[in-house]
Amino acid sequence: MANFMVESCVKFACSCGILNPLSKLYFCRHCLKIRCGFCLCHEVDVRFCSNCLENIPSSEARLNKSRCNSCFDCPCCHHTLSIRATSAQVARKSGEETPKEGDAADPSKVLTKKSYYLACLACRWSSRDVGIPDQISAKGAWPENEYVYQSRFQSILEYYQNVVIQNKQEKQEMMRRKTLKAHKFPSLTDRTGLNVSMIRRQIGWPDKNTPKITKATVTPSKALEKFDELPEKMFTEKLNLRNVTTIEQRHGQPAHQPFTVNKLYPQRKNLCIKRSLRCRQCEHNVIKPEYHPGSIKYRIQLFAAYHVPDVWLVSCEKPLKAGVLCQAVLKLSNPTIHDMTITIMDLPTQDEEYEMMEDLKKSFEKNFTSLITSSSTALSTSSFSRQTSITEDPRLVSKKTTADMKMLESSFILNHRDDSAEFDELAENPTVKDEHKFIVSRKSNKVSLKVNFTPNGDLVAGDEVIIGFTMQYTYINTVSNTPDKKEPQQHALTSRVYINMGRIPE
Amino acid sequence: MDVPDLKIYPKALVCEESNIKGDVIVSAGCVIHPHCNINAENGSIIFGENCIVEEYATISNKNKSPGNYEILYIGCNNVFEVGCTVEALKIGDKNVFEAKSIVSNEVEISNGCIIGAGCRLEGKQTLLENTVIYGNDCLQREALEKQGSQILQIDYLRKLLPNYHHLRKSNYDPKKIRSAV
Amino acid sequence: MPIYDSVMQEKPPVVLEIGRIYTKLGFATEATPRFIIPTVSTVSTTEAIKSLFNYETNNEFYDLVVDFFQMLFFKYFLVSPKDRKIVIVESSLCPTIIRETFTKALFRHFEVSSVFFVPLHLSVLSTLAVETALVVDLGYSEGTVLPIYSGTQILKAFQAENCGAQIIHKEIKRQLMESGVSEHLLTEKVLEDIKARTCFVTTFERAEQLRRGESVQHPPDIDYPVKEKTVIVIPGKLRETAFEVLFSIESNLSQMILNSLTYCSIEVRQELAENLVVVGGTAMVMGLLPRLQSELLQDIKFSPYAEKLLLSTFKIHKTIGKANFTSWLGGSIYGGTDLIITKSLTKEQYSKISRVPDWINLEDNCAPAS
Repeated sequence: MANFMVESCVKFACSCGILNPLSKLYFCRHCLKIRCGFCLCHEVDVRFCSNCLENIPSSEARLNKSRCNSCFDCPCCHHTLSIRATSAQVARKSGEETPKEGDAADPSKVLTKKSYYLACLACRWSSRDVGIPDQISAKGAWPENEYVYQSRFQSILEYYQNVVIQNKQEKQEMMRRKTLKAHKFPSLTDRTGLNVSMIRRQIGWPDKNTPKITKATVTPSKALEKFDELPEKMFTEKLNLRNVTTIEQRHGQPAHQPFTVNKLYPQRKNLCIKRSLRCRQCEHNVIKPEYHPGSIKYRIQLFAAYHVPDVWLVSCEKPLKAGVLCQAVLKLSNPTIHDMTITIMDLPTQDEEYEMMEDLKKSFEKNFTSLITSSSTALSTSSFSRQTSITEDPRLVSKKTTADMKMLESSFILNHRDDSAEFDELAENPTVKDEHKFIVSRKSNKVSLKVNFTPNGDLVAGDEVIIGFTMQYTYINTVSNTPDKKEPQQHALTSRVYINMGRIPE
Repeated sequence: MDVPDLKIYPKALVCEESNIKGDVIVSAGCVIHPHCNINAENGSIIFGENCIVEEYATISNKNKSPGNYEILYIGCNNVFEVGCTVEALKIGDKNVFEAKSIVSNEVEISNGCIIGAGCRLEGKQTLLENTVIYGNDCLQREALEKQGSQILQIDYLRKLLPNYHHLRKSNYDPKKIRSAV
Repeated sequence: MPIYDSVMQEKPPVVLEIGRIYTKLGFATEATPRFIIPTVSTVSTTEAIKSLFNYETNNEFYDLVVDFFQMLFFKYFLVSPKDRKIVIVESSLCPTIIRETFTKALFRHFEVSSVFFVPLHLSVLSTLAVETALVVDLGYSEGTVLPIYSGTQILKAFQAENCGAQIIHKEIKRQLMESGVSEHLLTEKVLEDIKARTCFVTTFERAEQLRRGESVQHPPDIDYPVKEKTVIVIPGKLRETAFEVLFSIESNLSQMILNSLTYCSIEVRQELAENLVVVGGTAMVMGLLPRLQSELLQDIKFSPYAEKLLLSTFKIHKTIGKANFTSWLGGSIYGGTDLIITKSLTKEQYSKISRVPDWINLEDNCAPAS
């Protein structure tokens, strides 16, 4: 995890076929598969304001257009505005109010009045710049810029909503008239036109039919023939560039998009979210953050680095030459608290890879059908939206190996992680008697191994040498998803590893 | 470390560890922090009253034409924040050079300007009054609101700095000189 | 409207207008978009920032689109895309690959419940509450004209030319380089900024004088600081004439409109000419509308239009809100009505046919063989 920020040369293939360093991968422990950000389902979990760290429930967020109620962004540089306080001396008007006890002592009859304004610490913009009066309370009612066309838009929207509903009703009416009534027996009233409503009318009862929606009206826009010509000063007056807004500033307030800076108003701060990640196959959460916005911890965190043995490239014989056998040392480490048996195998061939993709697709479909059968039969299949199984297609791994790696002849054991052993100097590594030849050294939960590989003969200078292998490891699942089996189960899992050994030198 | 050409007016506060080269005049009320660089080897620098030069600020007179001996006049109430580099031709009053800002040697700064943190200012130009330079792209805007004064900060520094640093004595008093005459 | 209230309260549909340079985004039934952001995508694997439409292979485009939508939903909309209704405002002549890729990403990757494509030009009409208009959309790469009569698009009269921001940026660059500004300073962003902040469309009379080669007192020059590097002078001539390329011989806005009118049948021309609407980001420049009107009145006097079109008045609608999001606003109206339920492409339909039904496709456009 030391190489969290830098591009890692060791990449793991996700089960969807995209390569990522281990630090960016997740591990679904119900499917026992590696997942990446691309093949997981992202969901918005918690909305909060990044400035005041207040948690904002979704209904409130919708009401406030997902903006914070109390924090503002600078309209000039989009930095967060801070509230500043000033105190001004205000002379009390003589006959205004009877002085209170405390004030009575004040001989000069001067009140210090605290007032607040907004200021940007990055570009020194302040709410006084645009003439917003200082507020008396810190959470002051900062004026919102009224949108001129709001009511016009609302009336147009309502008009169209009515039109669409009317169309729909007319269509239904048509359908009703068109379709012949499929009564078993001919009805006399039908033929004579003496239907229920007719009878009702004859009797003098009010019509039962729901009244039609009154035809909606809206005044259509009028095209103009006369326009305001450009002001004459445009051609003569010098333009002060500092008073003209930039495009970003204009787009910062889409409703108004002012041309001059004196119309830039503070913008309510946009909220941030925490997301939770869900496995698309089994619908279990892989990542779930803690609810509290101030916390950076997780409730569920299934990072692959906690479950899959990590691989490091320790050293590689240089220079790499096309067609010449090379040696490299890899280091593997076991992050789990169980011993692992590791086998290094060949990568699947392309056909096998296609087969894997097919399997993955099928497993998705199977999952859906099982979901349907398990759910109550009352749910008709058409209304059950999850039934439609369209998801992301798995892909072929984009990287191709450019070297032939000699596989290790046998599997070996990777010791479990033991945090206490690190502090215990006396604890000697249990020396394995029949240590394999390819193992260079062992230390606690890490093993260094020697691997041999031959870069392909057709590589030219500057080409990358990439080796790849399938690493099979035993994984002990402590949380079983089937309730009847309490015993931890052992699984043999595989992951595909690609290592960039460097380039062939010029 | 004696600088022969350094003239410190009374009530100015110049720390011993400050790095001053060449002909520099520090007017009354200025506060010069330790470890700032003031380089006047190419031409003298004159600080107006109540300027603050913070740590690692570099102010140099980079006047390149030796025949035309020009003096870098710095007005009153300027603040040179930590790590700024200023080589301007002329500096007016009440300017703020924020941390790590860079002003190259073709720029003239008028009054009330603010060069934002990390901003660069290059190319031949004269900054209009009350210009604020901010952001990644060094955008300019005009500050309509007047900047607050630095007096409080200076008073605070005048109290605090002598407790922890050796100071240079003021060596130039116009009144005394006048009385002597 | 009790039905709407319940539907809208649940999950308001998301409305997108993805332009070449700027994307307008917001929720249906809202009177303004929430954001206008550059149409760029941060590639998740390399962290590089790339324009969405700057792609080489279709797969790369798909990945860019996925990353782009990911950003939209989790940085701007702040809603889970799953089972949400999407409205996309797009030209009826939008390339199939773009439409297919958007839909594929939305259904397959984000599992949205439905996608509703609203024709861009048609949606503009709804914001004006009119049935007939000639819609001029001035975007970045091109300007398009599409007449609509009684709510029907007259597709044979569709016109497109490079009357967009791109050609104006080119013109600014050409003029500045002529005046000795080095090219590396003039990035696309700087050109856009110069255009938006200093340039305008001059009046018809002055333009005529300029065309005849008479000397005109140009507006004052402007000192323009290019980032931190240097200060360049923007000549007054450039400020006044940058937009003249829209009325030049190669790409002429007014002739494009008149051409479109000649393709329309004679009965509808008068009404269309009296209902012009100009939308798009480029339409926001000062002085464009009066100039366009004068140009139209001038061009109509001469051949070939004088014989073909017997028109004497041109009227232009004033858009509600700013012109650069007018078509988005139409999408917001469409998304706010029942049409979102009846006309959308749902996930179920998509899973059956795996493509977007389109008017251009004969399979969708023919009467079913009986």
